[in-house]
Amino acid sequence: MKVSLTTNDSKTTVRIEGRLDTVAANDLEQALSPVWEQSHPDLYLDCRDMEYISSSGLRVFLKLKKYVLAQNGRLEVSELQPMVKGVFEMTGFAKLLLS
Amino acid sequence: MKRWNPDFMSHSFTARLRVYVVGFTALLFILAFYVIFRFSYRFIREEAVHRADAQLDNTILRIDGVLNSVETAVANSSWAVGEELNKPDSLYTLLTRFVERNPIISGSAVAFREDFFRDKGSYYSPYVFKDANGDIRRRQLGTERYNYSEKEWFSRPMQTGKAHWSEPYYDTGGGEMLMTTYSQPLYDADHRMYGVFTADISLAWLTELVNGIRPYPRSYNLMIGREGTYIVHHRPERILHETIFSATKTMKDSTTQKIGRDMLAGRRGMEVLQNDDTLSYVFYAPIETTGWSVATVCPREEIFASLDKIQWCVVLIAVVGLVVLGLVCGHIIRHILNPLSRFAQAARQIAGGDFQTPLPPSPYDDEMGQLRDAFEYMKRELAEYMEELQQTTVRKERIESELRIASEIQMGMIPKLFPPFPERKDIDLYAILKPAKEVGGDLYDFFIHEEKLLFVIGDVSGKGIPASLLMAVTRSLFRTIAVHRKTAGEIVAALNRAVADNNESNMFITLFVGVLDLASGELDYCNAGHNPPVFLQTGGKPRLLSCLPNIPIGVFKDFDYVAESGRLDNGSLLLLYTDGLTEAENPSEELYSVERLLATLEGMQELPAQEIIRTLERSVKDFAGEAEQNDDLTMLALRLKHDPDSQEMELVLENRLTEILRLEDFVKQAGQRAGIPADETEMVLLAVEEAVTNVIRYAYGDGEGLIRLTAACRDGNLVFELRDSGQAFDPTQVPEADVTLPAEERTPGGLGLLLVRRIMDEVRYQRTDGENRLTLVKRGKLTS
Repeated sequence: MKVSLTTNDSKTTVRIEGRLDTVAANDLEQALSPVWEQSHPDLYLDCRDMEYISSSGLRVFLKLKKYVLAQNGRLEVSELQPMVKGVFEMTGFAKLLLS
Repeated sequence: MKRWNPDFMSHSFTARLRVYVVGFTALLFILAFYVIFRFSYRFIREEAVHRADAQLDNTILRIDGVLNSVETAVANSSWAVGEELNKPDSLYTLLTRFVERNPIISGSAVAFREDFFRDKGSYYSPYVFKDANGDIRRRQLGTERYNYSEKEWFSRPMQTGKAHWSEPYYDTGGGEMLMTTYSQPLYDADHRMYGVFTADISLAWLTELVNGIRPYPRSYNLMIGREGTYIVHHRPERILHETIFSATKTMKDSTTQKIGRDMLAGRRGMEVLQNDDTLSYVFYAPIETTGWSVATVCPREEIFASLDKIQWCVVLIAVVGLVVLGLVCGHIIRHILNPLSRFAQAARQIAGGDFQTPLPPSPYDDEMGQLRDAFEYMKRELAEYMEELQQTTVRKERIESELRIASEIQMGMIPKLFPPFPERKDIDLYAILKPAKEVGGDLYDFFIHEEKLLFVIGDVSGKGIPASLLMAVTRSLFRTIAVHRKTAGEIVAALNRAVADNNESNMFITLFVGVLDLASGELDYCNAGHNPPVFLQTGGKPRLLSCLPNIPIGVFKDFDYVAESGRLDNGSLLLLYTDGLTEAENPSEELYSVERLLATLEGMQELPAQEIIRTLERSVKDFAGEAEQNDDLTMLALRLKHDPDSQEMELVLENRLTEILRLEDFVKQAGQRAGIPADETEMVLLAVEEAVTNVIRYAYGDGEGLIRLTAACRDGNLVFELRDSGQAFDPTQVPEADVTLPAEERTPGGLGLLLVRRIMDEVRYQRTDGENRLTLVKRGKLTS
């Protein structure tokens, strides 16, 4: 997995590429450390090249969503690959993150 | 085949019969003619010889008579010469009297030896003869010019001392006619020869006499002298001028030369002579007095003229007779055969189904009448038979159609679609059932129940409909009973009880029941009096499966059937059959036999079940040849064939999160083997990862431990088994996370298990021997 953060006019784009499995989820959490210090975060999750996600990954996404909600920030998720979209739908995350 | 044409038949029959009759008669004629002509010919020939001989003899006798009279006359007068020797001139008187007295004698002389009468000159011979007018004249023959001592008529008797007839000669001095002279020597008292006494006779009478021989109108005669000179001949210019040899020198047939030699030798006989174009019979005989020979020549056609005439007559009559016979024969035969052609026509109409056809009348109680009666009888019988046959056919067709339906029903009862379990690559099974009649008493059946293959093969005693009914009952009972019983022994025992109850017809069934564990290859079987199956082990020789025979079912209700167990290794084949295979007979009534079966199977271990059974079917068919199949033939071949690719895979992990990275390859490989699509495999990987993550996180706490993950493809399903020896934990008991809650209320836990349950089709947990066993099943496309 590869994570890259780019901030542009207070809007942070998190780009996740590859497989977000249990091991990669920890890496993602660490890579997101700058985000946890932002107030009113305006986030854009670019998951167009993310091929796979496990429950650990989902947990990071849930944590992110909860933080954004608490900080009155914004969280936007890009188009998803079919596998990931399937997992989102199974777990109710589609409603949580995409609506 | 040539069409049966009555006209053709009667014509050809008439023609044949006519040819036979006429031919046979002609043969008889020819034979009779031959014999008759043969005898006639011989008879006529003998008759001709006889007639010619008689005439010849008669003529010779007459000639001899004349010649003898001359000889006698000379002998009687010669003594008088001796009386007159002293008066030589008086001899004229003696001779004159002698000539006068014997009219046949035309001249007579006495010739004396040289110088007998000195005064009369050296040669003295008084001669008296008749001149042309019949007047008697005298002359002295011996002159200086005419030395008679050199002449034959004088010298021969003087030399031999015997009387002598001269060869005929032409008398030029007197009568100008053919003459011959008889000379007799004269002796004195001292028996000394002193002269000869001669008598001349004309041969005119001889010619007349010889030509008087006329056995046939156109026959002619000839006479030759001692040198072969013609004396008598129908061509006068030849007389004395030619001999029989000179005249016939130019003739092709040398028979004349032989005839000439025979005649000169004084023999008598008969020869057939080819002269120019005519065939002649020559009869000849000698005149012994003079040494001459007479012959008469008769043309053959004259001798056999009557025979030839009769011959032509008879042949003409025969030919006319045969022609008439042939015509009459044909007419009669046609007349007789006429009703036959009408019979033929009637027979054809009857054959065409018209039994009312009238038969031609036959007024006489002859062969034709008998034929008519026979036809009438045949017509009646045929009509009755046809009616009966029609009824029988209707009945038979009904039975046959029912039997056909029964056969279809029966065949519908047994599984006939192969491969029977297309989704199962591990089972290679093929079976056939060929009833000897429409319906049979053999059966086979198989089905899978709880990963076990239950199969049966059986043979009901007897054949035909009763056997087929019991077969149907047995097969239904097997289906019902087998699912409720665990072992083959129980199944057989239950079947036995069911069949033995109410078995009033005392029929029985031999059975072989097997229960095969598809996963392990463990085989549980029970043989109820059936033929032991053949076991074909990979790399081994075909052999019979050892089994206790027990007894057929349906005999004793409470018989204790003993079951046995064995193992069907991967690739090994079990062949079940009924005695229709081993007891198939060839035309010389030999059995196919178990030995032949084992020999045929040799080297076939690797072949698919279908091919093995088809080969056996061909083999038994070739063996039986023309012989009729007299028993049902059933075969079932079964093989377990675990695909090496579907073997279990195992992955041993340590309880560290990084081990999760090893899952991707393992699961993808298993998914591929199970034929699960890539996108689905990705989800399965997620489920496995969640389950494994769970175990890594919680099972061993902070301690270390191993986690075993196996993957297998069973029945087309992908089955994962996750084992660890950590804390007991049943994930199936964890309540499912509520996915409908808003984000604020959701907890991070439970997501993994949720995914596992959602993705996998079956999740089972088991705690055995201090191990947690979590089984995850993803159904394949065919079973889901």
